[in-house]
Amino acid sequence: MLKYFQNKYAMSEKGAKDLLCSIIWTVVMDISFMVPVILSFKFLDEYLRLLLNPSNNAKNSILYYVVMSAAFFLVMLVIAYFQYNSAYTKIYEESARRRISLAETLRKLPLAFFGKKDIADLSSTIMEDATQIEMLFSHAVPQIYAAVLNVLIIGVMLFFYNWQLSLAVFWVVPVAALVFYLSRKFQHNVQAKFYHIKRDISDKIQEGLDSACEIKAYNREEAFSNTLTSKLDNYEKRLIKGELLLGAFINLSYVFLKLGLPSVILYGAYLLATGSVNIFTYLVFLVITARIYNPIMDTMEHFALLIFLNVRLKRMKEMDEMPRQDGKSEFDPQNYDIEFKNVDFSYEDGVQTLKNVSFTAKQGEVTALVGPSGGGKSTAAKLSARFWDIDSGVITLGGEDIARVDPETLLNYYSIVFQDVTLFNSSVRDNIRLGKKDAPDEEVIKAARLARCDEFVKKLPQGYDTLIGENGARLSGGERQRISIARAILKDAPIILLDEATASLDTENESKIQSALSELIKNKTVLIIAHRMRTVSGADKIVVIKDGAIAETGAPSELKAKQGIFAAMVKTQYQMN
Amino acid sequence: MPKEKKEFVLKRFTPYMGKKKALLPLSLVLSGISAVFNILPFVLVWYITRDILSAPQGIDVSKVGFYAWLSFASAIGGIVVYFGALMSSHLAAFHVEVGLQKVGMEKILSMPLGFFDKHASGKIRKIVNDGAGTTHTFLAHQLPDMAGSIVSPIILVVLIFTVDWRMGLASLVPIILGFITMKFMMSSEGQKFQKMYYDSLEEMSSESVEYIRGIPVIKTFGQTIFSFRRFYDSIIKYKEMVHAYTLLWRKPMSFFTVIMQSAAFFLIPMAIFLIGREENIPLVLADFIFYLLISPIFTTLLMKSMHFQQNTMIAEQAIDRLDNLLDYPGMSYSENRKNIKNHSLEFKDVVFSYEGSDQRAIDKISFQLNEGETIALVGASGGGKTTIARLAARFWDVDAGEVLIGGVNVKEIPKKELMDTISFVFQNTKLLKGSLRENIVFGKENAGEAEINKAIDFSQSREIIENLSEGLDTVIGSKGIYLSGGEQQRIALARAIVKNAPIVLLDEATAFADPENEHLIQKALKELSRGKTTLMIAHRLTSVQNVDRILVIENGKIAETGTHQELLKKGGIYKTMWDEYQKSVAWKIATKETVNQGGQYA
Repeated sequence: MLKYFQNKYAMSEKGAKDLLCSIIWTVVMDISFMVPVILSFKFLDEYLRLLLNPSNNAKNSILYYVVMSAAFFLVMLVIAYFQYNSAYTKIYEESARRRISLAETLRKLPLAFFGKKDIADLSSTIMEDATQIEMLFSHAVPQIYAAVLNVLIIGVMLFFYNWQLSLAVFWVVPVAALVFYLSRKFQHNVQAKFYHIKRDISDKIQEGLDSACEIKAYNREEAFSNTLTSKLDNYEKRLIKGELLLGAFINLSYVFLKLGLPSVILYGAYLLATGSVNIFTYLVFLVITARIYNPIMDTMEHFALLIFLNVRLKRMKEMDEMPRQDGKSEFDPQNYDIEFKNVDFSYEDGVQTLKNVSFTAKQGEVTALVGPSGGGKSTAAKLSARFWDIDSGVITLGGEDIARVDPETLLNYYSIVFQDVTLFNSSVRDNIRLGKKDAPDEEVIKAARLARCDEFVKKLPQGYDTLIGENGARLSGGERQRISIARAILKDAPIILLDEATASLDTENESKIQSALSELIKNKTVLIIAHRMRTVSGADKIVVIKDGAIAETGAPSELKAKQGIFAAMVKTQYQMN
Repeated sequence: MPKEKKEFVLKRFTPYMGKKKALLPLSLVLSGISAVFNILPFVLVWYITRDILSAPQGIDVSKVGFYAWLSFASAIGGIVVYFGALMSSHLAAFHVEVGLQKVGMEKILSMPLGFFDKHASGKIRKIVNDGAGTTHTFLAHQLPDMAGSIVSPIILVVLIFTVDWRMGLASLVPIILGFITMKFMMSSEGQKFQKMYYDSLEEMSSESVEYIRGIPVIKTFGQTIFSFRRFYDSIIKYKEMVHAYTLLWRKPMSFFTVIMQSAAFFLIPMAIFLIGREENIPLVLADFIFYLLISPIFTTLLMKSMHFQQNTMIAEQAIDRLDNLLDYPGMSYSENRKNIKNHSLEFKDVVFSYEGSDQRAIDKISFQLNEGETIALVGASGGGKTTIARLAARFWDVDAGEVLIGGVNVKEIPKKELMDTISFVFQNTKLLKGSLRENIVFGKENAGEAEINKAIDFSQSREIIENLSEGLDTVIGSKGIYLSGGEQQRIALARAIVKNAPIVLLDEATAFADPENEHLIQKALKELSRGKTTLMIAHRLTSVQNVDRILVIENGKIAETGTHQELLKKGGIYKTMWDEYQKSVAWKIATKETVNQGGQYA
């Protein structure tokens, strides 16, 4: 049982134990709630005898019942107290464990994973899922299990008491459950169909919002509204049809359940008239029948929640199946040469590929990756820092395969300055200090000066202690870029990965960022993704990547002389200026 | 008090109901009737027990049978009527959901262009979708319950006092006690805790977003442990918070759960007491059974009405957010075509500040752009260049002064005519889902093949289309066909060329979308503005040397005006910018000090 919970609900052993515990307590509580009903039967039994046989005086007094009631009340209270403890208090501990292990999983994922925006969204969705799952485990799961067990227990007890009337009570349950189950299946199909229509509409609305300016500028408001309206009308029509059918189906199952009461009344009356049962038994069954279908109905409806739960758990398990990156945490390369040997790589979706790429970026030199956009040059740069693991071939740093080194250890040797800068909602100082945790203030400020941050930081209300807002919302693109360069300067890693476009994000401060970059790369191994040919004319080596393969390699002067792709790119870009 | 609120929230849906206004009240009435039907079987069971107990020896099976079928009929009736209630509430909900999206989008599209500058599209969509989704759930599922939870207590109270008021009171005791406990739980301390609970939940979720977003950076700098710590702490803090919260509720909640199951404990002594007073035993026993059956219904109703209040609040908030979003100052457009002949653009003492800001974004700017001329706006970002271009397209209305096209104030020009006169190509120009052809003829559906071909050539898009197997009929975004930023820009330019508006507003930054293809976009921009009245926002000074006039914009004012040569001679702001530009162009990347000319230049 424990193993079953552990697997099914992706729980720790303790969590599974706690869940089992809370199910047991809920069952116990539900059974304890039968006590008032049983006491009522005892009372009925005694006074019925009095009615049928007035000479019989073996009845209990008010006092007896008051004392019994008070005692049972206390017992129920204690049980409810323990049930509450087991259901609500313990579950949150499991939930905290679940969140922490998710956080652990996330940080083991390849770096490139976080570059895809929708996947970053997915991971925060999963964190929200954890909250939903927590709610279900405290408020629904133990209750559903307990309700099923409870109905079973009552059913068995009733069958032992009087199997004929029990049949009258329970024959409707499997029929109703079957109809209900079928209707759920039907609902599943309908919803899958609706999902596409709904998605289509939501896409259309998103498109309208994204392109609102274009729609207005080209006077197309009416055309857009008409398409949307017809889509929505069609959606509404189909919704109505689907809902009518579904509603009819589900209600049919309730109709079957409701047949139970007249069955018991009629069949019981017949048995009573023929003398097969006494009045007391008949009344007991009447009372139980009148009350038992509501919990059964609730339970059937609650099963939808279990489906909901499974969807969420599945999403969470998918996360666990993502490729994780591990490796040794002891790594001391002999030099900082990066070498690609016959590297093949494709993203999962197969959009972009590197084919048989081989080149070396030598220590202390600038190696520039150039080529048409989408050709694979930034993929190559990212692979050199193990953003993703490659399909075949090998990438080495100082002769050692980087796939065998823990990414976090490996990254100690890299500074990465790309276009997308992530800043944290803390002070400028703390954001720069990220480069080197224990750096004294003077060192942080020195790095900030070298990165030309000083001039804009001075203008901030609290200087280096100014909070910069969520993801640095209060700073301009160029300012953010300079902070990221300051971080990299402070980190002082031997290898620099650089996207040249960072320099031109902020045209007014372009030369400032350029000199900051010049400062950063002094005497380092530099791998640069280059867009402007004039910038890389001072590089030691140019690697031209086109359509995922290496087209040309060599010093800039050699390539210019060769009259190949590089030379052509230089020519068109110079023409422009 | 809650009743007023309910009406209020329902009334707010009526604008989206169209012709189906009657559905909501219908659903309420039906749901009320079904509540009566649902209680009826219990009354019938009461009749049966009374009959049997009054004549224990001779049971009249046919009469019991009648009651049995009647109870079945009423149960079925309850289901059928409730089905009707659900159907009308669902129909209403669908209609409101769909209507909200229709009306919402229509209103949003009629917003001034400036609206889209202020609101991110993702956020708007979330508000529209949430509004539609929440109101759907509220109307479809919760509203019928509302009628039930109003009608049922009334029937129950009536029953309690008509059947036997003494036993009715006894059955009410646990319900009243439960109600008091509930009130206690909702007391100030409970609410304080609830707020703390939501706060720590929110804190944890924003920590998780920051954690996830930060993972790449954190990993790069080898500080996962530190960042992990913060998130870890927020998880633990939340856990402890919830723990304390559950502890607070442990006793009252346990009591509440138990007391709601305890009706029998109060009914039995009362029944014995009544029998002791020599009352009719069969009647007392029948009444006893009746109350035993009916008291749990109260519990359910109490719970439902609690949820209902919560859900009303949620629905109200969703509608509030939508109303707030749409509560944006609209623009009035003139209806009369002006048939503008002269395509000049003039700013006359224009003053403009953004909503909620007391600083003037544009501070008394005047300039004249004659038909066929080109003006470039240069200057630091945040100085007002973009605002000027957007005011020319009437993204917002000016606070003072006038923007004139062909001598006519833009406020007097009908929207359609204004948009026919102006093309603008700003940053983040979007293509629409659909084929390339549909995108290119977006502004002029009847464009001929020759026109399209010309636009393709002028916008330097020929190569893009030739590389696609389905050419012009390729649907963007389908089968993994995506265009790079620069390619999208060129197709957008083809679209503007087909539109062929006499005044062109350009943001030159569009050219930087794709540095490898920058020169192609520059060429396309040149083609688009050939022979047109052009206002260009220039970020890099590559392309301003040959324009008719350059306006240097600083702090919302025109700081300098003149041609490239004049401004260089003047030795002011423009000269400094030009020098800076020259310096950045000369930069070369190298690891050795000696080659690094960029650093020493100037």
